[in-house]
Amino acid sequence: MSHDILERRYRALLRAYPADYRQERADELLEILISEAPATRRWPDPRQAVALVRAGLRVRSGSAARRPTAVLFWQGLHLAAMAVLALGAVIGLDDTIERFEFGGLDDPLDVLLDDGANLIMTAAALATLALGRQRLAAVLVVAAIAVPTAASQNLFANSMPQWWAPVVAAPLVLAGLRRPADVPAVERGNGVLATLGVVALHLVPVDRLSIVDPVQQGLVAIVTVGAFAAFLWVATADQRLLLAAAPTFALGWLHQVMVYPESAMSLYRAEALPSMIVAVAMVLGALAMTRRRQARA
Amino acid sequence: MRSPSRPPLREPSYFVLAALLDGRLHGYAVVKRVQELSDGRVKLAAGSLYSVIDRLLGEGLLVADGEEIVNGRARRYYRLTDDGHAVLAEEADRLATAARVVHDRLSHPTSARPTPGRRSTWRTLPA
Repeated sequence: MSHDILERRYRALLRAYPADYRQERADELLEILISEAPATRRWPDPRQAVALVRAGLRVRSGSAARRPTAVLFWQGLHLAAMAVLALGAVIGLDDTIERFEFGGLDDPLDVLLDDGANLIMTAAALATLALGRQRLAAVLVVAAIAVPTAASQNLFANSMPQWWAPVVAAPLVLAGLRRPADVPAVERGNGVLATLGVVALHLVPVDRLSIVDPVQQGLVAIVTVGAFAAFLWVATADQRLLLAAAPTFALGWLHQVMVYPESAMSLYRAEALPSMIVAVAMVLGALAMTRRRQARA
Repeated sequence: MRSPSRPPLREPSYFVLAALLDGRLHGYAVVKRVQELSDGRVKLAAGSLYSVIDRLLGEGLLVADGEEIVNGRARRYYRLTDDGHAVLAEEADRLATAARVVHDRLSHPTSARPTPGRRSTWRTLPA
């Protein structure tokens, strides 16, 4: 009986692997996991659990594919487009809510034209991309640049990060149309999870590290270190996340550079992570780890 | 065929190949055999084992060789290919040579000391 429960819990952990791999290997993996466990064990062995999750993430980033670098590149591109659009939508939503809080209800049409159009179109492009409708997403992402800019110059004139989101995402989505047939598409659920992970990274309150209260400062430090450690733990196994996160740093950087051109060469911005350096390091790290993994059996 | 510039095998891969020298085995038997051959030093978790197997399959050093149903679960067997044998033998030779270099010097410690005016041999020793 306890092995039934254990098997069910291990099966839950096996979801770290892509569905097709799971279908092929789940039985073999379970045989080892169950045979190794004492009859009374009800919860997965932590060593086995960690190894399963990391191995599953590695398979997702293409380690078991015939062309691992191609899987990493094309799926990374898709996830990057989703992450950029998602971050743009989150920033847009935050600004829209703020507009309503500060008198926007008096003239909702203005808010809709200034912020709403961008938010709706960015969210639509993101949703179609998440559903795997690449061609429709390409049309919508181009429309998410043109339509809101034609409706209102507000976001464009202020070089807002949410205006840049479809601009940065467009080449990624358009390039994704050329994904080779032997490279599988990103699984829907996995794409959504990866996107949420990257967006969560941007919601870490790094700027609050400078607050005076030592208790709050300590809590923020714990949250920050924990979040980045968790991200790196996942991303060193599934390097697609590094590619996905890289262009999201461009949104804040582009806003900063356009509004304060003198900050173009600054490596440090107080309100965000050191942007482009981190982004480039992420891409290089992803490629180096994949090449190293391929080179040695 | 193995390329001459092939990097050394990692320890888990080495022992997985070594475990299959006596014939085909299924995953759990490979885990047990690896543990036995390494005197309990290499304990492969299920996820790590299949990462190694996938890489070795990809390099053509292993092949899947038959499948049976045991306790309602599919059990797949793996065996070494000729390339797998060759790579394993080559790696064992490399390790033996590297070990011999150290053992020779340990048994004749003075002969390894660099002499002034002559180029040191220490740099050419494997790390």
